[in-house]
Amino acid sequence: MARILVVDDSTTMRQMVSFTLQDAGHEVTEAADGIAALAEAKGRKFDLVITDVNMPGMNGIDLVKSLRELADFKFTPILVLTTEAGQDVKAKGREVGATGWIVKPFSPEVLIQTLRKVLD
Amino acid sequence: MIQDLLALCRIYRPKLALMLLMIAMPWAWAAFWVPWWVNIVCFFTVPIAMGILMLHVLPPPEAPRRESDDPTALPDAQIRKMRKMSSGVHNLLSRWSTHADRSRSHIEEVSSHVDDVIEYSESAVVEIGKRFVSVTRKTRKQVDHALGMLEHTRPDGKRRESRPLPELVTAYEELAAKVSNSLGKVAESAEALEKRHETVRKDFEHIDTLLDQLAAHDGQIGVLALNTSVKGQDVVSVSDQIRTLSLESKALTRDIRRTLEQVRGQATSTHSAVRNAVGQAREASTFASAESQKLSREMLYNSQEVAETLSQIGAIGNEIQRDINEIIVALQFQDITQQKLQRLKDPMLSDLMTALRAIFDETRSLSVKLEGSGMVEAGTEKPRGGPEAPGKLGPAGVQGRRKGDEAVEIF
Repeated sequence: MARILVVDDSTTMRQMVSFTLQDAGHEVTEAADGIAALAEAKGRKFDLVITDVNMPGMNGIDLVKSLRELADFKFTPILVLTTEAGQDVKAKGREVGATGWIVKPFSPEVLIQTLRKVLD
Repeated sequence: MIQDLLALCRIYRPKLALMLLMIAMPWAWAAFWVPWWVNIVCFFTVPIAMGILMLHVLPPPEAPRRESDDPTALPDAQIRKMRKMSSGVHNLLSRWSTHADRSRSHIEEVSSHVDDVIEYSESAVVEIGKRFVSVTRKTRKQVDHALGMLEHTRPDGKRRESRPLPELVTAYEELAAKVSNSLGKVAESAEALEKRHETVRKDFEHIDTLLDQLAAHDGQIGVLALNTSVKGQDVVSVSDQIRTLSLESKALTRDIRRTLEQVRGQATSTHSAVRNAVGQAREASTFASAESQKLSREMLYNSQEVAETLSQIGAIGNEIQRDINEIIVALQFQDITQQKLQRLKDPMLSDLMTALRAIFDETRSLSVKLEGSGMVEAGTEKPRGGPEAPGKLGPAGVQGRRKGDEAVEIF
């Protein structure tokens, strides 16, 4: 069982991801944007972070960048779950330290498989 | 007259060239062939002809309106103002046209996206509904399987070949009771045999005692015989004693025979009892073996059926999981299209509303000016209401509305 931080401004999407992850036996914490996620990350440790890109306040790319600056999240896997599929955005994500990229809409099975790969 | 002629020349100025051409054309055709003095005469007569034409032939032109002549006529200042206003209206209309064109393209884009969103939403809702029905049916099927397992019936309602588990347990209990009963009987037989064995042992002890007595008699007879030969005792006395001992020996021998008969009888009945007990035990064992084999087969079959049912329930569970996954994907589509619509609302529609608001303000200002200038009648219909201020369309304005109403509110 892993502790996972899910960041998305859409409540529906957060719920879908949480439902899938909890069903697979993981402990999930939700955040509605980058700023809230950063506050959560400073308060406790997580085994994995899943974040959207387009969010109000702080976007996903900036969040990944900020998380990588924290000592506890230097080597924590960070997956980007977004509708963006452009190569330039992906390159930006890779540049700031994202571990993986999943394009929405996601298949729960694929999400769990990716999670296993990343956590192993 | 000359002033009138000059005034007429000013009035007919745009047509003077045409009139000169019409009057001078015949002269122009003949000018090269006629003598020089004719040309001179013509040169003077043409203007005269034009004057006569303007003064006496053409209809008199309308006299120019003067401020002093007509009290309802508009003053020049007002005309200038009107021209300025017209120019303003022209600019406004031009801007209206530009904004309307831009708005049209925006609205077309929004309309196209809204169509997409509606299409996605409809398909997502249909998919979710379909999957939900499927999940419900499959769950029902799972419940039917579970109930069938409990009631020991097949999915088609027929009774299963094996007995249900409670019946099998009862059968096992009955079998165990029967075996226990048989073993009890065997135990009783064994107890009776033990008692008989004790009697036989006592009989043998009695025989031993009798044999000891016989041996003692034999010893006494030997002593009597010795005394007779050594001491020369009276034969009659010895004979009496020997007879007495012989009688006693006979009685002892009879007693031994009787006891042996009893022992033989006991042995015969014990043998028969042992055979009975062995028969009972064998019968009980055979019955128990046959019944337990039968019950074991049924238990095995029963457990196979249970395993099969559980496997079916598990397979349906997997199908339900797949349906739920599809529902999750459909819900995501719904959410993504909703976000797309949200992004269209801001900034495209907000910009459109701002532009409409600006044009509305300008129109109202122009209308007020027109009314103030007295060029339009008071009470003429004014622009009313106007588009909502952009701020009202923001998130604060949306709060409290139902989700589905958002689009209606925007458009």
